[in-house]
Amino acid sequence: MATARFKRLLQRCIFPAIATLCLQTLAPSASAQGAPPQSGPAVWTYLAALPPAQRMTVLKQEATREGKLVLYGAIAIERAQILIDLFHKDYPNIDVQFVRLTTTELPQRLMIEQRANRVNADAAIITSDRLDIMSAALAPYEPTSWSDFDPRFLNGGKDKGWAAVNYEVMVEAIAWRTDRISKNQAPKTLDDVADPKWKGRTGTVTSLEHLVDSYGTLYGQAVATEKVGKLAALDNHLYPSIAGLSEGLGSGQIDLAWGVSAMRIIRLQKAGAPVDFVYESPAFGVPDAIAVTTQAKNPYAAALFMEFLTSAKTLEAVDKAEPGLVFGNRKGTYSKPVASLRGLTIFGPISESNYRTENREVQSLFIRRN
Amino acid sequence: MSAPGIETTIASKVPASSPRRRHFPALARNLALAALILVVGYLIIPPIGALLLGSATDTPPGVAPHFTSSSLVYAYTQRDHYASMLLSVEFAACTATLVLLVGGALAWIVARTDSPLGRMADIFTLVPILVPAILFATGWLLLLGPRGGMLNLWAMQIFGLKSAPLNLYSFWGMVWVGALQEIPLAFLWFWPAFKSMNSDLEDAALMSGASAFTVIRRITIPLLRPAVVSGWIMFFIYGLGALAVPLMIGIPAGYVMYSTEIYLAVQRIPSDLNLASAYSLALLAASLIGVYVYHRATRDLSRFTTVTGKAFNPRIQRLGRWRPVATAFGILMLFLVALLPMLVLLWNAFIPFSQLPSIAAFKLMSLKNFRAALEYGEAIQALINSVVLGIAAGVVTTVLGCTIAWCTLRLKGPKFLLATLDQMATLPVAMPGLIVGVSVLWFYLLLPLPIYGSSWILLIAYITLHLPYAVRICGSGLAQLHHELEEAAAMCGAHWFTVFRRIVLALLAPSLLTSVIYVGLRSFREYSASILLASPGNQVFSVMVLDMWDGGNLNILCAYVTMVTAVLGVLVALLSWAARRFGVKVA
Repeated sequence: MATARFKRLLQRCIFPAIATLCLQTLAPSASAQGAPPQSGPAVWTYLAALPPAQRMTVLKQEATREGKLVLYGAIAIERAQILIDLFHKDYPNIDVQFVRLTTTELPQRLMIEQRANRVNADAAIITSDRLDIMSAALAPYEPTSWSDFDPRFLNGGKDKGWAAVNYEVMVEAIAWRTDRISKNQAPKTLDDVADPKWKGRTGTVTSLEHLVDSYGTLYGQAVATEKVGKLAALDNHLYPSIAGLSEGLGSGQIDLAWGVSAMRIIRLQKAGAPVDFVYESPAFGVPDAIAVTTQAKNPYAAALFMEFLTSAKTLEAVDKAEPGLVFGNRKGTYSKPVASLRGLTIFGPISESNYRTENREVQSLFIRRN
Repeated sequence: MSAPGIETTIASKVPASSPRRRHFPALARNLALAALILVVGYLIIPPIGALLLGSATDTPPGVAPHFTSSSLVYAYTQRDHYASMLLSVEFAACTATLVLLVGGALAWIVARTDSPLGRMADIFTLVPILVPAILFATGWLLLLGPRGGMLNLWAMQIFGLKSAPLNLYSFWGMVWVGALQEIPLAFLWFWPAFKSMNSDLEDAALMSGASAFTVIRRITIPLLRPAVVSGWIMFFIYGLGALAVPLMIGIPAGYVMYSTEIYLAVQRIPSDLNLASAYSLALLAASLIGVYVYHRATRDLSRFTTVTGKAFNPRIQRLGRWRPVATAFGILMLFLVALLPMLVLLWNAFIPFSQLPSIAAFKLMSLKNFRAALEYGEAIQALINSVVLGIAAGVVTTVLGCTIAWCTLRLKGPKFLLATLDQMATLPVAMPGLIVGVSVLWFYLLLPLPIYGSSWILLIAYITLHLPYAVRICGSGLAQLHHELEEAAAMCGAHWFTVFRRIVLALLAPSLLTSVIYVGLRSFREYSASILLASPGNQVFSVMVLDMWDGGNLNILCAYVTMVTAVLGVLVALLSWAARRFGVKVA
């Protein structure tokens, strides 16, 4: 009887008491490990320390709790919509609010918000040339797919205090109107384009600083200056954007376009326009990069979006939706593998001093035509 | 009557203790004036401050300023920049003159003659204002481009020419497109002036044997001097800052304009807002000189008053044998300004990519672009937001602009305060939208008010940017109203507010309505500040337009603008009908 009472006492009082005591003792450390930080630099340190599988679990759980993210993007709304729709298929409970900006305004706005400590954006998509000037607002978040990428597609890194991934690259092409130039006549390289016989028939974009920069690296300054000079001597019809350039070719304002995106020409071809193209040789690529902001109000949702956008599965889906792009995640299979473009130079973040020198040269040769 | 030298104003005879003064004591008047200056200051000090600070430093907004003259020195010591400045002055002067001549003539034909255009012309002239500048220039490139321009290709086929007869990529090509774009706005500018004009002087001249041409030259145009001078100055300054034509036609043609220099400074990595600000100071100086010239040219307001205490009736002028000529001119202008660009727009809305009309192209026609436009992001919500913001900006800016114009033209207060108010209200005309956008963004990020991220920030930017237009439109209208109407009411014991409401507002109705439409439409089209200030849920039409254009969706954009033009055309028609009603009431 007494033994039975003692057993009951043990079961009802002593064991629960010991359990409670143990829990209370262990609770603080469990909470420290289990409750992820809500904001600030601690989030990025915390996420970086987690193994990939556990990180994804935490991201999904915390992103669902946050329920939304604000994405600043210097890409067209319809292109952003493709990415957002794909994301919503996997994460229907996370709302993505897209704010359309241009490559000029996005760094302006983000940096002003950063200085005022009122950053609205959780993540940003922009061409990689602008990353350097807005790096102070970017988080050092490397997605779990970071090591799967071709190093040419990576910008910054944990050690540099900011990170961004070129999730897609638009490869530059030489395109022509098939009703005015036959395929045999059409130039295949930029050196062919520089032939004076094309004078007055060509068009390109106003922002050619990257080309000048890359030519300098590839050929040395003297040869690069000569090659760029020959291209400038064509009296190119200059367009403020790649989209404008492809429209100009489609509507017949010019016969030949260089520095145009292959993706745009494929689009024109699909619409029935009499145009064709070859990739420039050597090939140049203009990347769109994704990064998370350091002051993100919804850091987990932003990081999850970055994880999603840099995964091989997503990039394969983007490739199907928009042919003509190349992707750097080596685990995926794409219509245009990076390896097929020999000597592809991907434009990277450009430093202020380099830009100033090249900008002066581009303005003098192409815009002011001195 | 109000002929120069004949006019004797009642104001000069009113003693210091007149009822008007009793009803609006000096203290209350000065306090009201100070409050008005505070409101205008609140609107314009952030952008002006940003402009001045930006040009005197080499640091971006939000960073502790580092004062230096490097931006100013660079901006004003480069020989290239003076060449572009001179080119811009020539372009703006030619454009402003052409715009005023054609817009003024069109407004006169519609408002004051027996031409059959009267019924529909104002609607057709207003509708093209809705077409974004980028699209308007693109439309003309598709028509007159030297390689693929429709009209050039047809001319070459018909006349067997080897090269294109017309080249839009030229200085006069720029003036042509720049002017056609602004003609509808000039029409709007002049319409109230013609509508509120008493024709007694013209009648007297005609009775004395003067020809119709002499009447126009010696009576009509001199009486319209406030509207002409202020209109020319506004269109000149607007021409200096215009960007779409210099970018899309100027750069390919090898012309670097002053606004292109500002654009190139902003497009740099990183954007050189300091240099852009330094460049903008020249525009600011031009606007200050413009205001001074305006005041010099219209300093004796009594010379331009046509609406006095006597009853008046704006006479419809019979053109006689000139009627077909005037009508043909009107139709030609309507065709060039409205119909041709709209046809290009409509054609492109139905085809998958820009091309010349052909049998093959007709087979490609579909409604796909319209469907795509309707499903394009927040396109519909953006349109609704822009309509609401446009109307709100139009009304608020007009109320403020009318009050400022009334104070500066009518109030007998401290001259320094009144001049300051007028100058302050005119300054935003010289500020690029991007600078206003950046400064407003920065100001409201620092201010602990729930304005950043809401539609209010867009409204504030629109009011700031368009205040000068409202002040000038209302000012031109006020210049035509004689003091004696207000003084007569005051003598009868009416409170100043009653005078303002029952006399000034009632007689100014056409000008006020024009100002609401003008500011509303300009706000509707504004994009450089909008793109910096729009947030999730408050996207606007112009940002959608920029997105579609920048994203290479020209044909979807054409479909979108076609639909918007159709919807807003109805709205404009209703407003136009209301304007007619007001016009009749005034008459």
